[in-house]
Amino acid sequence: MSRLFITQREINFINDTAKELIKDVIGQKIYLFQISEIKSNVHDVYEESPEKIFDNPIEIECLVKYQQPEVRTNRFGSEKYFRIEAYIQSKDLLDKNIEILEGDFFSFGSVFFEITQAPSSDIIFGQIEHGKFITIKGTQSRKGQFLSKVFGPTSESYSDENAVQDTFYQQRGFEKNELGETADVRDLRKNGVLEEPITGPKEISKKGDTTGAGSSFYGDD
Amino acid sequence: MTTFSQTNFPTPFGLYDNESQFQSEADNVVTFVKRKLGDDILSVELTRKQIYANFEESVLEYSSILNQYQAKSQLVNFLGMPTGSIMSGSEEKYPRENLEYLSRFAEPYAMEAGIGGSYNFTSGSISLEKGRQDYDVYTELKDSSGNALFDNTKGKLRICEVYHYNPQAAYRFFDTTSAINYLNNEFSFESFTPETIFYVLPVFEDILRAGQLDVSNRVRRSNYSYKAHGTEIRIYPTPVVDNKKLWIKVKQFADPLDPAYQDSSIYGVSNMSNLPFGNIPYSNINSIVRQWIRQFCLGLSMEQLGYIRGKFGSIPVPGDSVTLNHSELISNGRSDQEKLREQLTTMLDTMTYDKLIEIQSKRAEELNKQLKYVPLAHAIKYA
Repeated sequence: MSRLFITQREINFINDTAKELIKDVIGQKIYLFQISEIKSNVHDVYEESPEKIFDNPIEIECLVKYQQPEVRTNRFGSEKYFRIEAYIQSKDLLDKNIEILEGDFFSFGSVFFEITQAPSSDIIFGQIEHGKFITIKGTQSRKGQFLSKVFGPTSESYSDENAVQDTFYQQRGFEKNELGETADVRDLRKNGVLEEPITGPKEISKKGDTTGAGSSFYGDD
Repeated sequence: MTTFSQTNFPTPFGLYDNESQFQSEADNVVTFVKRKLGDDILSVELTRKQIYANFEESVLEYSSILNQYQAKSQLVNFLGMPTGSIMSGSEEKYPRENLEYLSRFAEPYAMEAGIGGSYNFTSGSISLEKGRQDYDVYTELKDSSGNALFDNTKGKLRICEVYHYNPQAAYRFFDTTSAINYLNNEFSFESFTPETIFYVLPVFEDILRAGQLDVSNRVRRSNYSYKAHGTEIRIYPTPVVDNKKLWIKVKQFADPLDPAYQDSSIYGVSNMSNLPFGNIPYSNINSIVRQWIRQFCLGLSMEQLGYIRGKFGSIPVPGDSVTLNHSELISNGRSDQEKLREQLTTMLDTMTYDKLIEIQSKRAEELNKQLKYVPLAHAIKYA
């Protein structure tokens, strides 16, 4: 689309709308484990690190395309094999100064995936400087290849504390919410086009549950 | 968060920016609009200035509609008065009724009847010639200085009156051969001549006799008359002497913008557009209307938000695209505005001064009907 109609302000609007949808409405997330180039011991000759050390996981909001697991049968029996795709907003990664590379790992639910592809997938309205999103394709990592604490939610069938997510906190471009720092930037507000919302981020939690039926929307300050 | 009073040029027209009640209400309206559109949960992409502008527009819209209805009720009384400036302050007044409009309409008729009007007649004379009946009024009708009266810039010359009558019958009343009666007739003394003899007779006797003499004059003598054709006038009977003056009263085109006197009302109020009605001060607006204004502002903001969200058919998001609710916002915003306008105009329709008279009249009739059922007091009991 022509640059006459799509200016930086429109790009900001598109990015902010996407962020709102992903962070304040949908609330899907993955935990990214990036290889620490500093901490990992790289072999002098092969320039490879047989034992990789990872940085602390980063929670990244995204849209996940969950795919049915493939069932493989081998001499040891059958096993489920997951492949997954996640779509992450390019601008959000830029705001957080994160670069996702092939070989990094991420978890979604209780399964860990190795990132096999992380291409920049699209640009906004044909403007090359404005990336729309990247698609990361993950294949399930073999047990023993990557070990970490599992971050919820995972499954109702588990009894872990975080197995079921019963809270959801909006970010709405505020530096912090109930969970801590958000690193969420809404450009229209940053650039002074819009003001802050009239009230702060809202939540789904037990605060909104007066009947004991479960977590529900809580919007009063 | 900045407030209205801290904002530079908060509204496009700035008509209410200095009114303290407007200022404080504007900040509340921002919260009202944003909350109604869901800003507590998801972003409402409207700036404060946009909402302030909508608020100002709502007040102006109300002011305009109300003034239109006030014009319906009051225009007739304001016609001709000075137009004033846009903020002249004649709005919201309850003027006294007058009949200026009707009088102005009646003026031409009054003028024809010789009892009023705004234009002067002109009279002049034609010098008659012995044996000549036809005269050109356009060239021969002259003023006392001998100049032709016809002004070719003012169009057609209209003859209003020709002073060419039968000799009055009264001169024959008592003595048809008396020389003094001829003189009296010339000088219009006939009713007061020394020779007049009063009889103690009923008035009808005089009237009948005058009628008889008048008919006699017309039947037995040449009739005094004239005919006008084109630019000429033909005199009857044929003049028998020279240099006798025939006086004629005429008029030409009555220029509606240039009557006989200095009339500033011509440049006064003539229609709704130059009524001296300014914007209604916000502080004078009551609670009924303030709620209408808030609701209208919400409708405008809803429509505006729809335009913002609808600039693109769909918004790209990672892996997909979403269509925002712009079409609903636009259609709902417009229909809300339409409903509010209709509600207001329907209400105001019942409040024009004409309608109020109608309602009061009906009420009086109904009251009268009801009173018929009230039992009369017992005559003896209260005697």
